[in-house]
Amino acid sequence: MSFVSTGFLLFLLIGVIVYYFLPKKVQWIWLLFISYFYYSTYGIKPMFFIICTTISTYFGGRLIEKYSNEGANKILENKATLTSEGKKKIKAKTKTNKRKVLVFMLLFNFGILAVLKYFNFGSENINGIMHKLLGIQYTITGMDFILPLGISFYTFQSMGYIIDIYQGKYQADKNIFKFALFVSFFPQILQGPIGRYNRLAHQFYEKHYFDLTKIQKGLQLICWGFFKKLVIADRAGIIANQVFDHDDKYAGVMVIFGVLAYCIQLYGDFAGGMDVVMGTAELFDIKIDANFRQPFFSHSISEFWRRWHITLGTWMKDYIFYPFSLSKVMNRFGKFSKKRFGNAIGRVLPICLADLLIFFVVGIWHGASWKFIIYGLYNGFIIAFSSLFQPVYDKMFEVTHINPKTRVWRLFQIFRTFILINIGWYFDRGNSLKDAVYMMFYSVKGFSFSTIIDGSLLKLGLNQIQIIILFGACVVWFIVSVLKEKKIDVREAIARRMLPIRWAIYIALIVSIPLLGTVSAKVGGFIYAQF
Amino acid sequence: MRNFKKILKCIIFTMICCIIFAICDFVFVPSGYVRVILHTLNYSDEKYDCIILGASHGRSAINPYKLDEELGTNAINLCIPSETMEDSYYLLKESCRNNKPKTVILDLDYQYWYDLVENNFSDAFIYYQLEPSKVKAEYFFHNLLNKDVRITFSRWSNYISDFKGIKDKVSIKLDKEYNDCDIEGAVVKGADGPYVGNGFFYRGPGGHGARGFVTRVEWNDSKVDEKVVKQFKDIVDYCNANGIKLICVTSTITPATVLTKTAEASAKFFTKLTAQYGVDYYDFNLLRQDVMPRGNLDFGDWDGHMCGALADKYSSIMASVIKDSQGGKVDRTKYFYNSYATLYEDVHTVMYCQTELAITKKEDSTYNISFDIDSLAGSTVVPEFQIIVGTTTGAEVLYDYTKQTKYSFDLPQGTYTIRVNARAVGSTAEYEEYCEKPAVLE
Repeated sequence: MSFVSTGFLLFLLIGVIVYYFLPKKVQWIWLLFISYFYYSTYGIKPMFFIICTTISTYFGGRLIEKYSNEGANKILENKATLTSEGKKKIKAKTKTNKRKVLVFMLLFNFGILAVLKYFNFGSENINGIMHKLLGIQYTITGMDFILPLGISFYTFQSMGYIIDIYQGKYQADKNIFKFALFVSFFPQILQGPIGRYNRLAHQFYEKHYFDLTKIQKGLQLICWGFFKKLVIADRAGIIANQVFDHDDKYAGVMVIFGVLAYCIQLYGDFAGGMDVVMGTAELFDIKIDANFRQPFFSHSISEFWRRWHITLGTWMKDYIFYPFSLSKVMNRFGKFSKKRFGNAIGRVLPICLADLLIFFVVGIWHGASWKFIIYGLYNGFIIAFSSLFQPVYDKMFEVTHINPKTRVWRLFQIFRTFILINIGWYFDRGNSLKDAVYMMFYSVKGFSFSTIIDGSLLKLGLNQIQIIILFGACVVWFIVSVLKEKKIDVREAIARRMLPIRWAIYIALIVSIPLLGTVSAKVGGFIYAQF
Repeated sequence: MRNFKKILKCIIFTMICCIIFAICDFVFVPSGYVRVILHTLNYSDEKYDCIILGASHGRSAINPYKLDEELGTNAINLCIPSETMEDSYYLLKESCRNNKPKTVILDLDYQYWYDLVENNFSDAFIYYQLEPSKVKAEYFFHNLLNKDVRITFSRWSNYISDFKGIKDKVSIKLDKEYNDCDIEGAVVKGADGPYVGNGFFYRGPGGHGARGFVTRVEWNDSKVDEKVVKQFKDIVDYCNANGIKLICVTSTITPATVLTKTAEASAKFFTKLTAQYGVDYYDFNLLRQDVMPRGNLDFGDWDGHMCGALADKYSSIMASVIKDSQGGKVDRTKYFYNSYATLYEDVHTVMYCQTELAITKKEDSTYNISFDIDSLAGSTVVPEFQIIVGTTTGAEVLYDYTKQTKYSFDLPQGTYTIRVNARAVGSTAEYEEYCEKPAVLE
């Protein structure tokens, strides 16, 4: 049941009405019911996997907590008689037990994800190595696995929970059904954001009273999301699909235009989807984490990744970056590199490695293909490179007397970051790694400014009116982004206006969705719902 | 009180939005003919007892007045271009709201049985025209829940397609004819002929010139959409439950297209399917030539949209077949070939030839023209082809009749017309079929 389907709207209407009519104590049960109902509309078989992850994570969390409590109780009970050696032993044993459970949980759940999502990719590569390098003619046959919708999101969310329990950040949930709601909460199940238990779960069990203002705000956000998705992203998607699906036909400005269109499509699609998700959750009086913070105002790639798909970035940072860069091995490597390369480089080298690792994982997370791995590593390399060369940049500023705090320099940084981000899209959207490189080559080779004015750009699927609509809608979006960047709450600002102005804005937004929405069977569906 | 005010505001806001969408519908949506037909169906003084369902082939082929003459019925043709089996089901139900049909003639067109591309944007056009009723509600719950939210609440796919036509659309909708649901107030596309009444358009004679290639579709039973079969079953069940006699037919299509054998394969499937549900089925592609003589030009295109003159004859023959069936048993040999093999044998000419030129400029500034000829003929016919090159000053036979289907020759710069004549080996006709292709060599 897609967010843009009639059924979803009806489902939402019934879901919200019943939710506020129910006794407050059982509201979460209703949420759980409708979340599972929603997921079941995508098929019954995928439910097996989400149930499997829920049950295993729940019991894993309980077991880890049991070991923690047992260890702590043992120390407490034998406080008087225990030597510090004895305490250490108990702690070590507790840690070992907890770690065993954690490792099993991670292997089991990421294993499911790996098998379902990456088995065929892995087997293709192993076959390639066996056939071409080792001369072994044995072939591992690919499997036709079903890929449950949202598996990457709910697996990461659940594994974040179990790692937090392991680290003792909070207590494991005692109620498996309440935990099941945390894993399956329907607005975020398909395309995130990747929620954190300590910020999300408690909201489910609080009493939620009907508040028309909240409902209105939720609906406003949903409409704004639809606007981004249906008016902007789907329209830009027509150009992007035309260029990327016929990459051998286009060169120069046409390809660059296609990449820019993809940039708009992806951002509009994902950010629009997130607005619908957040707006839907707001209808149930649930606040979920934002996934975007005006990413194209970033001054560097690393800042971009703190503003784009924020919840994935923070997940990677908390559960891969820190554990990896603070590990004993990296500690030793840091010491080694400081000795070998000096303090400046030695200090940042372990961080660079950790960056590369997380962006390798980000690449794989995006899909089972080398182009995604290269996409991830491309970002990782730029960030690592920036860190390594920071002293050089500082020196350059000194020598050239450039003040990096001036407005012009900051605008240049935004523009530079924008270009670097767009280079990355070649890998992300290209049909294959080879095609991405081919398109990059032809972006430069066939470049001609005359293409901009000779009408060629109108042959990519959108006529002049459509391009004007796209441009106009992007300007509206840009203005809203600037206001948000200036910390202005746009919804609040509109709400403070006089009724006729306020309504005119709301009506314009609502009417624009069908009036200016894209009419094409070639686009549709949310891109990130495929993860 | 404060809450009441808030809720009232919400209601007013929603009403304003609805009014704006209604205005958009009025301004942007063209006036189609479906509303006229449905209005006739629901509000005609005469009640219809014979309903004809199907898609565009049925619309151009079945003249309800001819059925009435022969069968004494009061028939209406509800065949609408792009009408799916699902649409037919709901149109049948809609018919039963204000009429008491005794017979339903369902035209089975193989194009609507497989490889159906789900189009979220356009396939609710019948839904829009249904009056608010239980049938419409049922349509909504069965068909629209999975579709884009915009199509349910507005006819948005029409909104941005044609800003320039707004003036015409508005002026048509302000006309008396439109408001009286008169066909004069409707914009009809693709009918290629005047409206006769009761859903039937009298298509004008088809020309030969603009026709391109015959689409060759490989029918495969396993490709048949299960959803369509289920919807067909729903129609059967509905008819059985309401005491309606269901008769399935496949209307005759262009003779050349029949020779691609898709009609044969699909008819085999329809015969099996209808037999399974105990429904009468008549494949009118098997009509004997002596019963209904027909050629390609009796149809508007290769696809099989019948022209009015033949449609009148065809409808009368169909009525006779139905009458015979009502009288007991249809003597199929009286009307039909006993098999497609016999039909193919009875075609003694080349029915179709077509080609596409490949032009390459050579280093010596001449041009090479090469092409393959695609043709269709009866099973006992061996086609032969003649190539004529025409210029502004005259025409010259470049290759006289041979069985060769591949050609390649050079021409100097200039503007030419390449004509391919085709006939059966042994025929003395100048040509039986032909195609002409312009070649501008510059």
